[in-house]
Amino acid sequence: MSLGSVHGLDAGYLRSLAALARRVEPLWISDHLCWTGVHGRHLHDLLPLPYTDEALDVVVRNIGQAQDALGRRLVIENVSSYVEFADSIRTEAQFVREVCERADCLLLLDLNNVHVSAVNHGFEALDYLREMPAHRVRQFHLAGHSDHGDHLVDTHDHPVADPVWALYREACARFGPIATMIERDDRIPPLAELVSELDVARRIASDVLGGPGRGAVPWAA
Amino acid sequence: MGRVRPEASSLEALQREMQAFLLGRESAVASRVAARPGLAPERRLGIYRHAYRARLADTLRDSFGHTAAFLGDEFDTLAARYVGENPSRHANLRWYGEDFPGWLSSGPATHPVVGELAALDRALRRAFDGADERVLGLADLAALGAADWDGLRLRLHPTCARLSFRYNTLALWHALDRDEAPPVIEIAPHPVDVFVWRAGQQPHFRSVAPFEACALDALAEGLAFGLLCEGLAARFPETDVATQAGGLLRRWVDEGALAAESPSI
Repeated sequence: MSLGSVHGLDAGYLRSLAALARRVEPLWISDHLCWTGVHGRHLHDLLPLPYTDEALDVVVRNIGQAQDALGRRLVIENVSSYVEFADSIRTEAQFVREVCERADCLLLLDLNNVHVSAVNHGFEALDYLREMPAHRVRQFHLAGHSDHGDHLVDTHDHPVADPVWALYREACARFGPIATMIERDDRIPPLAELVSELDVARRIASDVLGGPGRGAVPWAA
Repeated sequence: MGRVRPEASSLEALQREMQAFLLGRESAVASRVAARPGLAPERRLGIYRHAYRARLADTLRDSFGHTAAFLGDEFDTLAARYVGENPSRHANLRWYGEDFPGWLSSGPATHPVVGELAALDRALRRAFDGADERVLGLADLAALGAADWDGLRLRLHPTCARLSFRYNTLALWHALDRDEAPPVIEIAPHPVDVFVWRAGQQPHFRSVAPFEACALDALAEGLAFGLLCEGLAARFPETDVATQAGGLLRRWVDEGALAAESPSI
């Protein structure tokens, strides 16, 4: 949807999305907290926003427009990023929290994205989790990235990395039983490897939450 | 737009400048990137610019698979040049490269067969992901009265396409599809008319004789069946048009090439 685009959302696209939602009746509709292009151009990437008052107003207005068109609350997902802007007067985590509160939307925490951005910008991933509004968190995403030495690139084509598993453990402890999905967009391994990753997620959730059957059911996608 | 006035907006300027950077144009966005330990702003922005170009080039490689297989490394060079000259104008990557075959034919490709091959790649992809409209069945035609036929206007299913090739492009496509060495590229004795359609979930193509090519083009122009037959009779005076056109109609129905929601059904 390009929720961060200054010019607002594409009404035609929103109508198509609403029609699709009526057809498939999804449990949630999520999109990324980012922008993807302006002035009729599409950059096909999840581009970062400055964490300013103006960007906050724009995003809250756009989410409101989407929620009105869809007749439901959106679930907003944090993205990986490689730049932060000098204009920002908040941290990313503060920005995400304020967006959720002001737009009254829900939250999808991509823990790999938190880790990638934390490494790339030099913040503490745990501080980020502490800032999140726990009652709005509906889903966790886990994924892999590629390590370029002095920075990480969110490729979603590797196994989940150890620091992300550690963050998942913290997130389970902090937010309780939350639906969890492992994402693998490319270089899909044999199913057995994905299932073993799923077992790791289940084991961590079970360790933290005291056994299966408490509602956290990680699956792979 | 509420409180936000884009013409005076800092966010608008930032997004415009960052987009310009990604598109390879002059941009002042680096001055707005916060200094952080590790990478310099230009390298950080470069990750996005690289990703933008790589994603669109990958899209072309995926959409034009046989063209890419034929050209090898030259395809990457051409794709990079096309991406540099052609920003994406659709939210859906499906549409990126819609004019790539024409662009190739307009000069960048070293041989005209490349544009023809790309046009076939594109038509097959459009057949694959075209709209799911109900196809016309024999029962729809059986329900017509004798008086309905003259004014009957049929419509090709939106997954269909007509192409015309000057070269042995079909033989080239088949060789590439089988991972065999490409044939010597040569001009065909006559232009080769090609029909592309989707049967079930699968795109198909076949060459068609001039009579059928003419009939398909008349259908695409929206001519009523009676007029279509008259036109064919004038063009092919030696042919038993009624029998031939009836046979084609049956074939198109069997192939699922006609749309059920035709103008006069």
